[in-house]
Amino acid sequence: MEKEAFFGNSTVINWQMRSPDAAASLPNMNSGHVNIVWDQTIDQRAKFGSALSSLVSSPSSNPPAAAGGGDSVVIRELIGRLGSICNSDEISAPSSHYHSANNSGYSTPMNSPPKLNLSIFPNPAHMPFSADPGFVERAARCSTFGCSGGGSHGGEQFIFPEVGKLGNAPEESCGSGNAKKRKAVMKGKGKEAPLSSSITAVTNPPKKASVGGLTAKRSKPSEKTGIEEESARQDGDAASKKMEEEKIAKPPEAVKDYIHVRARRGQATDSHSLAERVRREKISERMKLLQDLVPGCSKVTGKAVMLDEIINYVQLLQRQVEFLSMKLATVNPQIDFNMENFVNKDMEIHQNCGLLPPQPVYPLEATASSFSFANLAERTPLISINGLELQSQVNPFSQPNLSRNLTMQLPPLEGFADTACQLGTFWDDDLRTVVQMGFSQNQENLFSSQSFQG
Amino acid sequence: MSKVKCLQIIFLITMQATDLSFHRIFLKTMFMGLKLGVSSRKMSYQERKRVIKLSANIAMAVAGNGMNWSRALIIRHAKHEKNKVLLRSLLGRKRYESITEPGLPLNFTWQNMIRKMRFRRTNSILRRGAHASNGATARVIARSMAKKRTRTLKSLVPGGESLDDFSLLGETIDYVISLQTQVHLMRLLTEVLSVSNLSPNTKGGIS
Repeated sequence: MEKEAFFGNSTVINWQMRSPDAAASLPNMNSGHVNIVWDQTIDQRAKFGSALSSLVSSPSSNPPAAAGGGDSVVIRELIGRLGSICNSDEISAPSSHYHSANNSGYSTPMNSPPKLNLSIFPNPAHMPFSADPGFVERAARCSTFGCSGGGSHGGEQFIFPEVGKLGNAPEESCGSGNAKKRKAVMKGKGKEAPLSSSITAVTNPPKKASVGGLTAKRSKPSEKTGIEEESARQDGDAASKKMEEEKIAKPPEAVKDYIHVRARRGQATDSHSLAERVRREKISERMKLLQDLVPGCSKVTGKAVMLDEIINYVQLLQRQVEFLSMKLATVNPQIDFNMENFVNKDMEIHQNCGLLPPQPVYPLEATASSFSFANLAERTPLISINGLELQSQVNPFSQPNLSRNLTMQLPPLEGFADTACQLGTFWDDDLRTVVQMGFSQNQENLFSSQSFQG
Repeated sequence: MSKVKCLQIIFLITMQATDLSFHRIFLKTMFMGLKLGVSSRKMSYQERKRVIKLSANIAMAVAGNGMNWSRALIIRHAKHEKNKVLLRSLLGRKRYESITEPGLPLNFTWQNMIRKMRFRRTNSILRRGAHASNGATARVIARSMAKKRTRTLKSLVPGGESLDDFSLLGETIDYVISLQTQVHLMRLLTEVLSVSNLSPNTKGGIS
């Protein structure tokens, strides 16, 4: 699994594995890496201080760094070099420099550009990161990892690097022909970062995007790829810090569940909008379920109208319950007496049924036999018909998917009312209409029934 | 005689279909409630209606056990002094106390609390933002409409006030299903009872 691989020391290998399938063009991807690395190395440098800088040694990148003046051309140049470095075997070599188990992922990034960073990115946008304690903290814990998928040229579909990894990648393209900056964010799952060399991708906040010239657009979610549910909080603000702390608090759950999300072209890919998109998707799923459940709701569109329908329906049902309880109350004062009978018979019949095969797959048979059991000879045909009807109505219930069938089953009930309750037909108005007509109608019924009985 | 038959039809159906645990539990609890609650003939119509409705609701809540709304429904009914005796006998003392014991509100967790606070904050921010933009776009209007309706829905679904949108929808689904079943069963019961009660009168002369 990826996870174990990540937890092991083989981060570099993973990274290499990921990069080929993530994107078609390696150089550009690498540019993304490089950018990220640079941004973050600032912070890391701030944190790690001299210890790491002593470890850092990549002579090749240093000269350009000195020459660099924050120009994209320079960046591209660096990208070219670093790309080669990243892909080459040199990766493993620097990683071996690191004696400790953690932060093997640092290898390339740290080695190449640490000196560059300050000179190349004098951009104030980066400053907040280094200043932010939460970020520094995280940076200290996690190694940076850059991975970007997607096409080399701007606006292509962005693919998250790998399942199970949190890939969060704001996609940015700088202007027209300039070097494309891709920032991919990988969030290692481990809170055990120090031990397991988990990889966190930390990207720059949207500020950076504005620098690039294209702002990420949000649009509807379409597909999903692997993203860990708790995605990396990219913003360097306090919120992310808080989240980070929460994550630290409960590492085990964090590892378990992740959601596959894939952002389409033009969609925002920072974690917040991704999470929001996932949430919206889940909500719309449930809305769809409700739509199926509520009659007459399938045609309407729009959340507000749908909610209206749902509210109306719930209110209708509640009113129906109210009405039915009124009706039950009016049915008879003898109700208590009947109830006694009911419960006794209930038990009796239940026991009788217990004698029958416990799994009446097609209950009709069972009913017929139990009717004969009950010695109802004279009207058996009619009853069996009723029983058949009822069984056929009720059968859908026995299927596990209760929700779908509930709606189907209400209408035939009136058929039952007609056949079974021939004597009490004056009750057989459509209940809904009566309910809607309100209480007065019901009062009439009440009086009529009482006078009828009296 | 037809009364007996109808009743038997109903019970055969409900008791035989072993999958219909909801139906079975509902009817059982309902009958128990009716038996316990509607015991005397001196009860006024309103009182009888109240007890019947109460027992129907409680039966639904008992049958839909485990969901948030069922607990909320029980708690809501338990607030009235009059209902307490019936509730206790229906639910059993232990369960009654475990559900209705005072303390933290239903489904209280600190996470919920925090979420709610956050939600409030974002709300105020949104409101401010809407004010600032001043040009009320269609989207803003639609969102506020949806929000208003969500609030209404929350007031309709028992225990919905403390839920977020997502779990509210889940509760609503379950609640609607339960309500449908409740209505269905009560209608069935009404019909059977009306038949069984009318038939002695109509046939009274004969027998």
